[in-house]
Amino acid sequence: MTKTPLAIALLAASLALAACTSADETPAAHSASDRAEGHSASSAGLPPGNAEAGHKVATTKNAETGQACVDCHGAGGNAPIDATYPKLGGQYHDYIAHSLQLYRDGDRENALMSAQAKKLTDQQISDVAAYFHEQPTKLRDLHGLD
Amino acid sequence: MIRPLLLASCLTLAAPAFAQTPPASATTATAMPTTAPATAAAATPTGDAARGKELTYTCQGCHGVTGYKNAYPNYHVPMIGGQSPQYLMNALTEYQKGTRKHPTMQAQAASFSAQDIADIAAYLSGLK
Repeated sequence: MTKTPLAIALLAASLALAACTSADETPAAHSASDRAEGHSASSAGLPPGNAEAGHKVATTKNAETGQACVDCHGAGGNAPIDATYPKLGGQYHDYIAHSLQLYRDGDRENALMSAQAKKLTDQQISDVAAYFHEQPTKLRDLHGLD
Repeated sequence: MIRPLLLASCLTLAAPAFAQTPPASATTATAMPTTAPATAAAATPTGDAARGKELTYTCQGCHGVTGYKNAYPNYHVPMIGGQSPQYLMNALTEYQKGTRKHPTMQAQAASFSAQDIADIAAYLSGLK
């Protein structure tokens, strides 16, 4: 019993050393398709968002999926219909935008969200992120907890 | 496909400094990083919010600073308090598997057992 964990630890150590020496990991945030298609790779590079236009994006059914954002995330992004879906209301706009960029460009995996985000323009991403950011929130950061 | 796992092993070795070491399950996860994701996916332990609170000490470094921004690319780190336990468990498990990528979050998740993840999710989801 004592030998196996040791052997595994040694194996892990050698694998780890191999992994550590090859520094060709590409951060997901920098997507090749993004750059190739002229999309912005970072939420910092997006045009300013308009919440009113974003409301329309959030409530308009996607041509491909037949679903609008609020169909799954609930009104204002505050009432997800499934426990695995996140609340979006009040979330930071640039985090929402960043997530949509990753989904759009295939750098974050989720069958539903990939399809939803696939055809979004930078402007639509920025707008819809602004809309959800301006909604009331049920979220909080971990500041000021006892 | 193998690279995220290698990276996870690499990070696991670096992790002991801040790894929380609860009973048997976490020891297994730490000793066998390549099988940890499968274990996490197979079983869904019941979360203990009190224990989760202790485990979230390191989360404070980023998620506890209002307005804190991730660098390269620049965006605010998300508010995670109040998300559902299922969403939070999925997020941490995906970081652990490497199917969701973020260097810091992958490093954090690499050291967690399935029980740790359930406990953290139980705590964070209950915050108001």
